[in-house]
Order: sequence, then structure tokens, then C-alpha cells
Amino acid sequence: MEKQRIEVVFNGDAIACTNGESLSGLLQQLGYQQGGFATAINSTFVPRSDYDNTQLQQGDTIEVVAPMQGG
Amino acid sequence: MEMTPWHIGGKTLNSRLLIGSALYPSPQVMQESIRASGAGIVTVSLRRQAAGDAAGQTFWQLIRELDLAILPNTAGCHSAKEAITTAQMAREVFQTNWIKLEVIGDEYNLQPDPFELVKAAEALIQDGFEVFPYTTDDLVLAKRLVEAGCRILMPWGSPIGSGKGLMNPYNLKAIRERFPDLQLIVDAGIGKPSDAVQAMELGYDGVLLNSAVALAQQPVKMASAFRSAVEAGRAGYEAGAMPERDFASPSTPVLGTPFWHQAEK
Repeated sequence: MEKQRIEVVFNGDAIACTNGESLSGLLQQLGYQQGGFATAINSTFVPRSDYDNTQLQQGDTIEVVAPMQGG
Repeated sequence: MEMTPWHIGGKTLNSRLLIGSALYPSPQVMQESIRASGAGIVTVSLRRQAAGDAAGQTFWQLIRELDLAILPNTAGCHSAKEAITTAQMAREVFQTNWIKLEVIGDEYNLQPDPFELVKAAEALIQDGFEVFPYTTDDLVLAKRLVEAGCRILMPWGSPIGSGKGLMNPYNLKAIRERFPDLQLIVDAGIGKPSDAVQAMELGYDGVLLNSAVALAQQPVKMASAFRSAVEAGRAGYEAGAMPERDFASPSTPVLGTPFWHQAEK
């Protein structure tokens, strides 16, 4: 049976992924390498140690941030 | 000039200048300016990163080469919730429990939201952060932040990026006198080296600035000027200024004054 597709918002853009996909799986698919960034889902921080166990849900809003200039 | 070492947030530093990493004409000028400033602490931020976009990592590499203490900020946050999440992400990326807590309450002057600021400070301190709150010069808000557990306060001189200097030295002085043991840093509004001198002469422990250097016509030279200004202001404060008087007092000894003043007696 084909896996159900869901839609999530990733850094402001709607993208499709598989229902039950883990955060680490999605990040890998999108080409994020190890380290140098951090994530939040629905405005809540997700520690790197939880990436494998975090399953994405329909409508989740995912943010991935990296170092930038600041004052 | 030999500077007394400064203890802040569990670190010992020689410089009392904190400098930002934004708005420089180029990454190279940023690096040179930060070096010229002699600052021991550099502020950085977090922004969305697209996969494969190396800009953030390139910037981070340049900052790491400077080998300074990193102070991530929560710039752009408008609620305690946003600021807390940003701080937690910053702790993981930058491997530090330091956070410059910014919770903006108004877009016109980027004034902090006092209510959300205190709420965020409380939560972050509970979570083990060393909070550097960007606040106004309101004494009661300062008290609330101290009650929340802040050991450092960063009242503004004037709005971020305005270059207006210290708008209300009386308020800054009141905070200094009310909290003699806190680490106090003037953050935001510094435009000229003389503003930094004034902040240090008030007894503030440090100065945080960015635009004043980054937007100067010669940022590297201005960074060096601010280095001298902070050192001069601090040395002046430690040396203790003479009391101000409302009348003149001759500095040249009058004993043995020859004839030309005798007639006035």
C-alpha cells in the first residue's frame, strides 16, 4: 500500500512528505548535513538528539536556522 | 594601557567592549574591525537556512577564527515564546548558555516589551541560561529582571541603530547606583566614541555596539577608536573624577604671585 502523503511548512514553504516521516529523514532528504543548524517544530525547539524519534504530522511548521550576522 | 581583568558570565576578559557582527561592508571588514576593537565578546544571530546554502557556515567560520566569546541574540522575536525557542536553538548551534535576550515591543523604536522580556528571562534562567537582557533604562523594569534572576542588565542608551548616544544619563546613573553589584552594559544607541566614554564614566561595566563601527566611513579605524574610548572611560571611572564645583578655583598656585595680582586684593 502506498504511504499517505502529508503537507508540512518548511522554512515558510509548503512541501509534501510521507506520513510518519522522521525529522532526521526529512532533513537528510533536503540535503542538510550534520551540525551547524538547529530546528523547531510549531515554535518549539527540537534538540538534535530527538530528530530520529520526531515524526512529522500534517500541517507541522518546521524551522531550520543557522548562524547569521547579528548585533 | 593596562586594563583590570573583567569577570562576566563566568568568563574573565580584558576588554569591556562587546561588538556586533552585522552591517559591515564586507566579511573581511567585519573581521578586521572586530579584531581592531579588541572586543572579547561578539554578538551573532540565527536565521532560516536553506539546504545547501553555505552563507551561514562561511560567516560562522569567520567568527570562529576570531576566537572570542560568542553572545547569540534573539533579535526579531516579539514574544517570550519565540525568544525562548530561539535561545534554545542558539544554545545548540553556538554551544553556549549565554543569550542576549531581545523581545521587541514596538517596531518604530525597537523598544523591548517589558512584560514578555521578564517572562522570557525567568524561563531561560530556570533553564540554565546566562541571560543578557536588552532592556530600556526603566529602573522598575531593571528590578523585575533582577528579581527574575538576571545578574547582567543591558539598558539602552537610545534606540538600536539610532546613534543618538545616551538619551537619559540620569536613568542610567540611577540603575548603576541602585544595583552596584550587577554587571551593567549600555547596549544600543551608541554613535560616537564619546558616547562610550560617557557610559564607562557613569560606572557601567561595558558597552555593546554594532552600527557605530559597521556604518562608520572607516569601520576598522572607528573600531580602534572605540577600543580607546572604552579603555579611557573605564580608567577615568576607576581613577575617580574630581568633585564638580559651581565656582572657579585656580589651578596655578597663588603663593608667591608677583605684583600683577597684588592690586586686586
